Amino acid sequence: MIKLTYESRRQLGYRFMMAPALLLMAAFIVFPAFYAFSLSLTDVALLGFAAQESSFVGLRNFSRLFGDPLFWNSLKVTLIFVIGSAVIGQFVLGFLSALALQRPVRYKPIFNAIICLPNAVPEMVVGFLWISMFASGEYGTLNRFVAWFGVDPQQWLYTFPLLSIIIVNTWRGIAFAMILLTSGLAAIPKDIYEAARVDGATDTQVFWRITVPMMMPTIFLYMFISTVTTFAIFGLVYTLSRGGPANSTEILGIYIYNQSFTAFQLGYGAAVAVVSLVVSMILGIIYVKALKVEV
Amino acid sequence: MSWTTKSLVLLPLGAVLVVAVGWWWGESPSAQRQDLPTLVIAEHRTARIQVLQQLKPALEAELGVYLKIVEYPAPPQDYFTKLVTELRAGNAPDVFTIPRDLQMDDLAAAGYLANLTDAVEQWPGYQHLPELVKQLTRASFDEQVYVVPSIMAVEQLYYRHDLLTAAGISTAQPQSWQDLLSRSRQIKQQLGQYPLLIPAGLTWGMGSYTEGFRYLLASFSDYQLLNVDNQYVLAGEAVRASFGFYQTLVQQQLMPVKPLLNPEPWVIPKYEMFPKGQLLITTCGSWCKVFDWGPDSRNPIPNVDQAVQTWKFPSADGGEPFALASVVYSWGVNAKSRQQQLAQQLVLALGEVDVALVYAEKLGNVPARLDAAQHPGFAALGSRMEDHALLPQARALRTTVGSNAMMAAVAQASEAVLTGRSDAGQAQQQLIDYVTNVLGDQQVKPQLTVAALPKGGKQHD
Repeated sequence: MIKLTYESRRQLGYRFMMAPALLLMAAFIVFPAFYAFSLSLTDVALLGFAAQESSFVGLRNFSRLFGDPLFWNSLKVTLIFVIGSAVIGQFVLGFLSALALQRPVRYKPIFNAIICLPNAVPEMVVGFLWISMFASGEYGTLNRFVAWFGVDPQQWLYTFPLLSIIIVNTWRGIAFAMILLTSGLAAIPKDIYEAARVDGATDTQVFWRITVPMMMPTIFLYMFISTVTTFAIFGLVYTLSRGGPANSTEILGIYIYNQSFTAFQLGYGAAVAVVSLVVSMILGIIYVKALKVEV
Repeated sequence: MSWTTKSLVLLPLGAVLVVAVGWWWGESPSAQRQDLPTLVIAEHRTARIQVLQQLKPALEAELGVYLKIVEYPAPPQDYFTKLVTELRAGNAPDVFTIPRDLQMDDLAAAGYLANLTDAVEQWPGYQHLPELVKQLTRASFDEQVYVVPSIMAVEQLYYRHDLLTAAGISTAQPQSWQDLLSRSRQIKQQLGQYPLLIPAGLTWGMGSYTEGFRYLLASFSDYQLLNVDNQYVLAGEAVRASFGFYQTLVQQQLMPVKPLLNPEPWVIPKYEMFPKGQLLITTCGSWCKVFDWGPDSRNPIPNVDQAVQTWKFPSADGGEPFALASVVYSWGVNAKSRQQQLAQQLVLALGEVDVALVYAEKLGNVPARLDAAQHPGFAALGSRMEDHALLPQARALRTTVGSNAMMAAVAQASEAVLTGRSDAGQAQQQLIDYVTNVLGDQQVKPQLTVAALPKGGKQHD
């Protein structure tokens, strides 16, 4: 019988506890990724003869993809959407909320609830809610509001499509940013602030020289998570705009869906998904490695 | 044990119990279905589901089955996507509707549809179908029958007769594209409103072809979308001229472009502008006076039968004006259904005149069978009786496998014209490139290249 040391038993215990998570990841993330890659090398489709009998086409889907202006457009739109809503919108407003709620505020739980509520609403419901908000014609909520200032009814989702979806996603994601950044702020030892105050530091100096540097790991962790998750968003934008008008909000998720389930070209859709995964991984690696963040 | 620990244990247990009871309750067989075989039917849109619910008792009694109706998402594209993914996964319902005839070939080629040729040819209703309908229910690649038709859409130009008459603008049938364009310019000049809508663009989806581009292509009397080898014919003058027609409408501001770029592009022009008289002519089908603007619709036009009247679509090449016909919501049987015989009996029963008349009356459209005209309930169709009479002479463009890719390409290329990114010639090239990329060279007629034609799109004066 093999005798295990205490350390080995402990390590084995850890591995045993991690096994279910690793199995699930293998089944639902790693295997589908490899399967998607294998599909991307075929002409498999959901309709037509290729649904019954697909054939190997090598890199033809990828060469078509790189020559497709709509793919490049969707990549551009996705990057703007990620930067606009996750990197700028959610982060800035989430950080401000976290800072504001660090101070003694009356009715703090109510403010917390107001900020957290959008995150509790399902993605599709948020989409429909904002459709009503942005609705064209005189009955749209936003149009009723601007009418008080004498502004004519607008077609918000047509006139400012990308900005509109950035605003909605920012609104929805502030809660997550705030919660994560609040935990980061709480981890900063209070005596550092007290020492700085004793040395005569101003609020601005405290913020830039203590809070921000001490928050860097949390900020980058947040950036990493929000960038990757925003990159994969689908339901919210699909409900709001379906990628229109004129592809102006066609993020990669919608492009993949349209190719796979509207044009029913599963092989081509898989090729786009593979490229999307690679872009996502590159962004992740940039955060994890180049910025030397421990995740 | 603290309350926190207790709730951690009790809450999940309670949730599991509720789910288990709900599942048992939902699955427990009722007396009604205990001894009967069950057929599952996929249906979508509230109005269609209501009609099916109404017909269900009689169908169940006739066939001795229990019919389980499963509600699917409403917009046709979402319905079709869900249906296709379930067919692919092998868990689709036994019987379902196919929104448009041109989707049948793709489904049949994928092996999802049961071959109904023998059953349909022996069915007494078959001899009462117009030739066009018989053709549209056969797959182009093997000439086998895969669907049972029930209702047809007869598609024409719908115009505001009340407003044009009041403005003193002629309501005579336009004979040519030029006639239609000059009438449109007159409307714009006199009434200051958008005259004409021909659907186009990405968000209209397959409707950009079925409710728009197809009308224009069919205006060329000798044009066929397929050649004898079942290849798509996309490089000719008819295709370019059709994009050119859109280009003219856009450049001369005869068509509202902005609403066509919205997520639900039909809402503003068809449900808001046309009823308000801000749009005077639109392509539409025999469902429109019921479903879109009828008294029970959300956007009723008062006295719709008189206020809105139809023109046949004018010809592009001196031919006779024409109406288009499509087999809509035909019934198909899942090739993997375990109840093939019963499912086939059900779709044949759904193809009977009585059933078709209920659908036609409640949803618009007309029965596919010509003998419906002798049925006592036929008069309930009102002005749609005239549409039904058009069936024997109506036109259709037959498609083949890959129609989905072709329609996606039309949507994409027509959007490029709408937004001014492409002229007619460039849009045609986009169409060819997309279809060739997706379907391969062998499914697109190779002969004439766009480069061989004069540059740019032909403008219509």
